[in-house]
Amino acid sequence: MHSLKHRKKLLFKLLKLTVRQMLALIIYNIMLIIAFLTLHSKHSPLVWLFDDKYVMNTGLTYYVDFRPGYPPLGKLPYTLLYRLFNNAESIMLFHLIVLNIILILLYKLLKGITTSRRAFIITCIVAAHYPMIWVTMFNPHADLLALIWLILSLYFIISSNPVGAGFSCGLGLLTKIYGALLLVPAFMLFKGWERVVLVSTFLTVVFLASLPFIALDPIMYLSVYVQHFFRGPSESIFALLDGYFLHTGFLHPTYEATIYFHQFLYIYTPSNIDHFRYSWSYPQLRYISSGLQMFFFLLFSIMSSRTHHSTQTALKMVSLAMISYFTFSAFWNPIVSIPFFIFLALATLDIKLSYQVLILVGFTIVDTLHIRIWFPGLPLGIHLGLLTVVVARAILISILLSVVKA
Amino acid sequence: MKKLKLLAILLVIAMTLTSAVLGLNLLSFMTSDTEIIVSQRIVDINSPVVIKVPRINKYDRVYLILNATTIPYSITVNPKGVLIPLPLDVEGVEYDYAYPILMTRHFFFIANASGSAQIILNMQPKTPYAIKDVEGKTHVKVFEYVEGAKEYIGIDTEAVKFAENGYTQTVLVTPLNEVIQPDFQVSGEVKLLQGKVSYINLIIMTDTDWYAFNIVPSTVQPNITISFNVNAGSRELLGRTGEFLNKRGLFIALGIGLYSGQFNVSEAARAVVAVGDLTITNGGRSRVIRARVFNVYEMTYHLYIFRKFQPTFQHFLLVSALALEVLAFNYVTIKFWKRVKRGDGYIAQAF
Repeated sequence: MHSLKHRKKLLFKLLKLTVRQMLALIIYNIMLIIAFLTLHSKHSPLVWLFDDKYVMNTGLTYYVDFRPGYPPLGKLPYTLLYRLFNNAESIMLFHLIVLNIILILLYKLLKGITTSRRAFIITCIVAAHYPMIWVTMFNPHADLLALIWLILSLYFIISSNPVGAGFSCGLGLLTKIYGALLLVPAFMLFKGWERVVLVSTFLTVVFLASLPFIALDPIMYLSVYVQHFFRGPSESIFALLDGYFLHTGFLHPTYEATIYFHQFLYIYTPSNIDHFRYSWSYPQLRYISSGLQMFFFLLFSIMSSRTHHSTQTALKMVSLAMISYFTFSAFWNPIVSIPFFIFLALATLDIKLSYQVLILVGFTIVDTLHIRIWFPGLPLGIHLGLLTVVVARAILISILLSVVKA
Repeated sequence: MKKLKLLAILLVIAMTLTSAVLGLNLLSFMTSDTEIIVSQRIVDINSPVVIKVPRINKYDRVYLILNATTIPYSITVNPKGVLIPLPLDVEGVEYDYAYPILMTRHFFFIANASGSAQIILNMQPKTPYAIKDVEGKTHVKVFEYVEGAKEYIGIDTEAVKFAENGYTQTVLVTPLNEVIQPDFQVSGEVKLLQGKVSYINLIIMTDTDWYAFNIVPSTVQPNITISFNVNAGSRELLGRTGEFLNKRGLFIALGIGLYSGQFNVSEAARAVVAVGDLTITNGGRSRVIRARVFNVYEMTYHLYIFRKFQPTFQHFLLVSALALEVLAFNYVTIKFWKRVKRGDGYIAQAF
């Protein structure tokens, strides 16, 4: 762990690039901008910001009068852009900056633990990952920003820096809830007072950044986080086994977000078509999903603490812990595949490069198909389409596990 | 080192106590922050229905669900301005046609003052169908229409605001809640009495899709009765045939569309349609939805009063204390950790 070549580099050095890397990044950016300008009239990201439109029209305040779907750091940048510019270009530009930071951080992280060539190839594959491009251009959700904190958390974990890890995990939670998960393997990897520092830094960041909302209406603020734990399944093997073929949010009136989540539960009878007030046809599936998630997540987290002196193995175990969390989750959507894909790349660094590339390309194809089934024109339809991608993903994960084991 | 350790322990105790008091305060609020009133009214369309909203505090949320199929002619609040209505908005679209609320009427308010209020409703007749706008905005009046011995549901729909595509669409929805079998068919008859329609569609709403079948074209002339039969062999507007088979059919609807281009500027964009009995056959069973209109009926309503947390001085004090404690604890732990690690050249890399 402590033998990491580049651990002496401080955070600002992480973003330093060579001229060639800079050029590659510029060309990539230009390509994305051209694609965006060609397509954005068909798919404006602004349609997703209906809650911003609502709070603006009604004069309500986020996290005090109204609970959006994301924590403040994941939501407020979009609110700001919506209020200031109200156009798709500003969102795309913000995403592009975030995407550049993600790719640079990922490349630097990879370069610290594998060869430059491999780091470059894997970063290029991540950059070409279709959901990543799609989200950058059209989907103003917190997942892209959350990736920055995930990668930074990993960097600080393998650099044995509990302050940085706690800080990044805290910002991760404030962006998208799964960002806090890395706290568990980090806790396992750190020892003694490092653990106390990790947790206290995490709590300090989360509490201080949330202070205005906790002071004004803590119940509304907590509702933002709590609501996620009660959602139904979607687009996963568990969802399909339960007979749910819809997406990650059955339509509900926006005004419902002006009441607390526990109050919201009073106004609907649970139903097996309502993702937000879901009644499982086979309730045991949710326990199987959560049980498998917890078991494998903890197993790989504990295993990561046993990987003395090997940064790459520790990173692989941490990544496998996160992959387990996503794999056994009853909740999946094409956006979730983005962090999954990054962890996939990090978990497969010790296999032959060609195999790794094949696995990543396989997942890219499945994820691309997954996005496409929600748009008209694909002959598969939603039922057969979801079934195809879920089965294909399960096969790919099985191949991945057998290769990683080998 | 010992002093730091002691300070850290004291801070943990202080944080635990502060959080516990804060948590208990919030818990005690949460256990009594919802009041639900379920009641019934006999509705006579000639007299208003008054629903009392007792004991509200400023910023409380008031949610009224009416088990009514048609939108009231009017809704007012007494005293005026005590309850501010929030717009109906489903993911950015101003209609309440989301599946979980398709069969009922919803009104949501935020209290603008403390006290009590009355919600006064002038109701329309009841029909077997819930009537809702899914495109644009219309003003719909329901009436009874009899021709010979046949009863019809009369729908007088007038466009108030066309959607961006120039259309309005009003749907008459009835629940299905069955897996659609190969023998599935819906038959019935409709009639345009006055005005112009762009279309009347029969819509099958499943858990994943809508399938719309045109049963009345825009060229239809008034007073011609059109009988229809939609089944697995029928081709819907997107060219799909029988794709709904084996899917979960949730609702059956009749969609009445008006198109702005069909009306002159001086002309009211309006259509009066009569809907006859509808027969739904599925899995060997048939049921008939009678075309009946009720001017007097029983209506259940749910009134929810959701209390809004109002921070007190004690709450601010507790939150401020906790913030200071958390910050101090973090400072102490980092300092302690640095001292523990000092000398091995390791700390230099930390912040």
